[in-house]
Amino acid sequence: MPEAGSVVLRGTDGSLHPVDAELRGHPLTVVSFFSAHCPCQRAHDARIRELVAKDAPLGVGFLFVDSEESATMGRDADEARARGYALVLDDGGKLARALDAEYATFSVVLDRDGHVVYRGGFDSDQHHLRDDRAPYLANAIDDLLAGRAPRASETKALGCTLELR
Amino acid sequence: MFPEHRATAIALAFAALAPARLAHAQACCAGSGAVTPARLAIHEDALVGTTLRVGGVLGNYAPDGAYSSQPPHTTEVDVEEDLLAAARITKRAQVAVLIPLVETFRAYPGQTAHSGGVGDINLGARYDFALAGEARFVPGIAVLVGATFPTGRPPEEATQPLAVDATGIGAFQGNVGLALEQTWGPWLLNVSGILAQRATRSAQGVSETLGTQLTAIGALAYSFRSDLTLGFVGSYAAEGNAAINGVTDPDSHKRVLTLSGVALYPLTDALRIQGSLFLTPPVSSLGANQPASAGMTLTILMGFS
Repeated sequence: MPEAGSVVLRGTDGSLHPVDAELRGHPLTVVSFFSAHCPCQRAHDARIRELVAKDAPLGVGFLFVDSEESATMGRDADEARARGYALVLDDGGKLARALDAEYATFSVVLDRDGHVVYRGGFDSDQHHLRDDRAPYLANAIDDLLAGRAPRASETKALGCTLELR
Repeated sequence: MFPEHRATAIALAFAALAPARLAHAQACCAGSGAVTPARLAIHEDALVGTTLRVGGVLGNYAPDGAYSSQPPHTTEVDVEEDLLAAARITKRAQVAVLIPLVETFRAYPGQTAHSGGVGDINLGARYDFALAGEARFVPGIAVLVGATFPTGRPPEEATQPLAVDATGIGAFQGNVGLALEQTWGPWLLNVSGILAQRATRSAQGVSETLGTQLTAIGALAYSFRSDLTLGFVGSYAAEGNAAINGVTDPDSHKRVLTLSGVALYPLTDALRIQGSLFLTPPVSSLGANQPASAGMTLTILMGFS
């Protein structure tokens, strides 16, 4: 199983994105796994855009990764345009396997050195979104940016099964 | 007649751990339970629920498959309320229990009767070797095992007129099954087979062994962006001849085809509601030694993640 940092992702324009380079460019990097046909993923699109808008200016990197076997650059380019956040392809699901990702919206926060400092759900909702959800990922980022350990470093992701084979 | 019909119903109930997952054909979230609902969705640790099933008998199939409508002024309505619960044992293993409450109303010329009680309780377990959606070409593969206990009242112990208080088949039943399912975007296809063997039982000095029963189930479903899922389920149950005092009764085999249209809607992430309309097509040669019926089901489930 490869180390996450050694994986090279591919943009929807064909550009290459070595994960270790992405990590070095940010104090924290969020890797969130994407499924084009998952209703839970679709339900979270607006929350994802909000989180990127809030935390990217603070230096947090975001990689929304399509590791599914059926992913193509063309489809993900269309998906990225429709959803309002960039996607990268994980050919062969290498990054998903390195980070034990099994479900859509499963998210991992890594530090510059590639250490996993949070892993789990985006929040406590599936696809019926509630105002009183527990924003697991956002809380973890807030805590880490403040120099604290995340109040929850591991939570449950509730998205669809990723098609990794 | 009714207890035999129950045997098919129990096979379908056992399939709770089989086809399922109608909602969100993508193997996600609220979608559990096409044929029967007592199956955990991928993130659920447990669920409880109840199903109401109401069916009216349209007619009967003779041993040679000839269909005949109910005689004039003859009515049978079967009502069943199932209590369902399921729990996850490991990530890929789950167990479920179904407790049926069975009621029967029968009206023959000059006589009506209504009664019921607890039916045959079913326990089942499911192990998913592969989940639908995990692989592009390899479907989800699950093995099912189950047992149905003769907790209901068998026909020979019925005391009410027209045997309306018979609520079980009177025999222990063991089940094994195989379920295959795959998702393509919003579409889901499921094919399952269940084999049931009933133990020999004695009643009023007669030894009876019901034939082995094979139930084949196919389900196709589509999930809309609104979260509504619509599906179609077909099941075909065929049962061999019974043996009476060790002698095979050549006219006791049974078979029945049931077609269902199913709708499922998750009200919240935890609460889902499911309904179906079912029909045994009243067409000769599609059944044998079984009633043909039509009716509806309504199920409410609460899941815990």
